[in-house]
Amino acid sequence: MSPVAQSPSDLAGSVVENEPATREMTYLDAISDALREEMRADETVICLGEDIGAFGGAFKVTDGFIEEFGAARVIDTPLAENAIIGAAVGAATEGLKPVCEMQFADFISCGFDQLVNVAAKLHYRQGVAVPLVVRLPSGGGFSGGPFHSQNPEAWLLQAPGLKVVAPATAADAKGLLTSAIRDPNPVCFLEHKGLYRNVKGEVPEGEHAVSIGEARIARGGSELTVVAYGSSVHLAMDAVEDMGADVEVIDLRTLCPLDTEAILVSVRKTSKVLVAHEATRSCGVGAEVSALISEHVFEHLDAPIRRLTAPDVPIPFSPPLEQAVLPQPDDMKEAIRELLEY
Amino acid sequence: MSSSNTETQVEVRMPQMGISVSEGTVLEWRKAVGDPVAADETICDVTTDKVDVEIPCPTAGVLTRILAEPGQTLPVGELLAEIDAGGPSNDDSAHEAKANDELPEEEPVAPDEADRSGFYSPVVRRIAAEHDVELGAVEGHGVGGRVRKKDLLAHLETADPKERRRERPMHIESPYVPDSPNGAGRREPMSPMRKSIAEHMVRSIQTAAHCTTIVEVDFSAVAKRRKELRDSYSRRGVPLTYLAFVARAVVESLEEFPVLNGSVEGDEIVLHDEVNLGIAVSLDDGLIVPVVHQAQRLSLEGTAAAIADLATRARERALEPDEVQGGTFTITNPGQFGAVLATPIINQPQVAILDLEAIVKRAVVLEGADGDAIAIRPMGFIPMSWDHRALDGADAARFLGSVKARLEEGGVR
Repeated sequence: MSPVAQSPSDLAGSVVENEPATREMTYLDAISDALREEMRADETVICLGEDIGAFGGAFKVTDGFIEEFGAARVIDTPLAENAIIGAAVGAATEGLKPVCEMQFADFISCGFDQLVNVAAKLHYRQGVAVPLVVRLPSGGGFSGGPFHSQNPEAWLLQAPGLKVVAPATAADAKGLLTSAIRDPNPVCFLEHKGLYRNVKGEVPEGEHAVSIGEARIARGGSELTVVAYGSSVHLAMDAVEDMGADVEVIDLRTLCPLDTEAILVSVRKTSKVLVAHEATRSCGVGAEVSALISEHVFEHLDAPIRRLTAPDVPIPFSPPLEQAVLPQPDDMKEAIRELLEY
Repeated sequence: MSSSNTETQVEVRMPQMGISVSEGTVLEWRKAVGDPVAADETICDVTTDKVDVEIPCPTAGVLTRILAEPGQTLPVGELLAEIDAGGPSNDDSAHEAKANDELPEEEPVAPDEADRSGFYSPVVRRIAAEHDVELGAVEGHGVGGRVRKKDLLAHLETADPKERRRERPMHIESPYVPDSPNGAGRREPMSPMRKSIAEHMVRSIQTAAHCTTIVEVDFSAVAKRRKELRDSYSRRGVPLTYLAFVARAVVESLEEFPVLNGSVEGDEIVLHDEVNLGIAVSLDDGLIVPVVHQAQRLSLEGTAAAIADLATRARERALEPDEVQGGTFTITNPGQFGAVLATPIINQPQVAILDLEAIVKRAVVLEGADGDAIAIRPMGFIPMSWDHRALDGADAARFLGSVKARLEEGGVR
């Protein structure tokens, strides 16, 4: 049995997008919008989480939801992540489509057993689909300290059976959350807290889905490929724009399944690669992408593959220390410049 | 480093190379005394009547003694060479010392200022190879004077086409090898016997003008004679098979048609005095053709006994080397496994191979004085592949007709 269940949209390839009307909204509003659209369209979609009902969520993603959909579908839970995900797994196997909110992505560790050992393996073990979404507000940059700033994607990528998405733009946040809710597999949805209100963009109104597993070329270029996702996409785009460099930026959007072809095609063209993420360095997405490139297109490389990541340390509370740990615009520019000159 | 410690001396002996090979002849030494050798590196080539073999070095070290000159034949197990395993190939210090002598001491430099003009990245090497570019002639503008992909592409743009030694090929073999749709499978090296068969069969196909002629034989008379004789042969320990009858009939017909008992040598056909009859024997992992020498001197019982003996010893791998050499004609009989037709490949340098297929009961039309009748008879096909360089279809047909007549008339002695 495959660890991953097939949905009709998987088989059909990319979702057809008619050119709908768009509205400018924040990354945060785009997430709320996707959730609201799916809950309106499909009554099996429910939300679970800490303070998501009466309080509207720690970041106000579900603000107004309990009024519109009722307490039966917008469930305030105890502070028990294992219970949230465990209950959601049960609901998913019984035909509902639960969307769990971890108040902070860091807290996923408390629900880890239900996620990686139960949700991720049910289809493999018993052929049971688990259409479950875990929303993970992740990332640092606001002095949240070691328990409220982490980027836990590497933990999740080591659990076959989970899909992992990490949108960088408002439109993709909506489109990928829609696809995540419709996907028959457990999907971890990493939403970077630094993007919530800082990133705005035109987002299609109404139904909007973006296929899981497809990277986006955020910017075309011929001398260097920056492979990034989440907040690092913006770091790369801003740096390249400032420098006026001929650099291609790939926004992975989905970390599992990884769009390997998009990466390899770009590297064959540019021959130089920088992989950037805010998560810690060792055994992270950068390591995986780097190995993938070495394995498949070694003879196209003109420089060592370089990583721009946080070092392998917890995120400090102290603002100057946190700045020293998290990749900054100047770090991005320096890495790009050195690779271009190499 | 030199060592007089005899424990580091490793002997290389003539290996056992497949069955029935008792000796090998040294063809060529790839290494000379004093040469460093790596483990598994070929040190010499040895040939046998069956196969040529590369002799691998059992250990890294230095070749200290050679005990057989090219052309010399040694029995299996005899000493070929000696290796000093304590030699410099095991010891990097000699190389290091040498390298240090050659390279002048360099002032340590900051990494960014290090000279990288001699370093070529994978993509630069690949493009240079594709365009046959001498990289030393390309100006590098990367860190430390490194030739970047960009520099090489610019060089290709501006280089005088005359300077390019070779046009870029229309097609470049991609280093990418897709996985087989059948999976990686399991790979096994060919045994020396398998390699020998492969080489021999391909050479035969490329040498002879193969044709195959087939006769159908009514084995009623043979079956009757076999039934009469079998018990008495059996008491003397001789199994009497249909193959023995066919072999006898073939030997008699070969004396009648000597061109079939010949071989092609250049512009001449050699007609052999003796009939040395090869009998193909299948083994678990291949095939061997032991030879009944001077088969024309043997009776039916002698032939049956000789075939049984050779086949048994072939399967026990106990044949003497001369028992697999000197054949002048070969019989194969895959029919024992139920096959009814085949087109065998000639065993070079012979001119024909005869194939006894399965004998099965068939309804056949018999012509009698009182008209035609249908009868059930033990029938079998006898195909024969022959070399059109040495004979023609009519010769082959006449020979097979003669064999058929001997078998059907029960006159085989």
